[in-house]
Amino acid sequence: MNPMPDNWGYVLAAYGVAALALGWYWRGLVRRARAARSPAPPRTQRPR
Amino acid sequence: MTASRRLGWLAAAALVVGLGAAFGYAPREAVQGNVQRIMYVHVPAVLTAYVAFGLVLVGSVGYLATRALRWDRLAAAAAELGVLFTGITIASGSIWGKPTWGTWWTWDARLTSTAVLFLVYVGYLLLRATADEPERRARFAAVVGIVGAANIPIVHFSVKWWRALHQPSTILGPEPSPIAPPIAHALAANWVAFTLLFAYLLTLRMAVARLEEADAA
Repeated sequence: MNPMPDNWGYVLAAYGVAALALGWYWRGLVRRARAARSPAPPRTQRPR
Repeated sequence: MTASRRLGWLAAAALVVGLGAAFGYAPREAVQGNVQRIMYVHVPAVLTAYVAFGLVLVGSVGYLATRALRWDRLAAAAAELGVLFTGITIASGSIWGKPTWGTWWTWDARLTSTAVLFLVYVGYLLLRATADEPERRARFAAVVGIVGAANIPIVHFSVKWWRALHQPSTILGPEPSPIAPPIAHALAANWVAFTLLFAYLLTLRMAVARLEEADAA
């Protein structure tokens, strides 16, 4: 039986894609949570 | 530290353990070589997606039964995560398929049914994005969430029902698992890690939904 070559590039690509996707989603959630928690900026009135 | 943060740190620690199991503990597979290690992402990702879409079903039924929007919030959050984990499943499977099958994609039963599952829930999220009124959005989404859940057993049993290039289920199948114990242990460690990560992201996503609803009110 001839085993396959190791193809480490493919292994790193698969783990890299998973890490990027999860990291992107998590960062998006953290940003949205921060934005939702921060108070809305006060409306300033133009001086007459 | 909030419970959500503790869960996040626990998930991070579990992922580190999972990586150690995948690369340090699990042996080099006899036929596939080290490319088999992609399974420690691919299989936990699809199992997590099953759980996510199962929660979409629970949230959808819960909403239609009670009309309480917290059930819809659960369904929406779980659907986003289900799409994310299914995307990871498809991508990692495709990357594994190139060196082992010689192709990035084939229209076999498992791959096709997984692609359909992905598209159904992308459609669910698009439907939600088009409806402005919360109760109307929740009602329409709940119907899709319930009907879409029928895809889960189709994906899982596709390798048994139809002729497929994809290998049969080695876990969650009716026969005893044929995989070697170290590989099974590494798979289990990564499944636990993905489950904790899913739980953390779900609580975070639902918290964001609550905050944004409060802002909009």
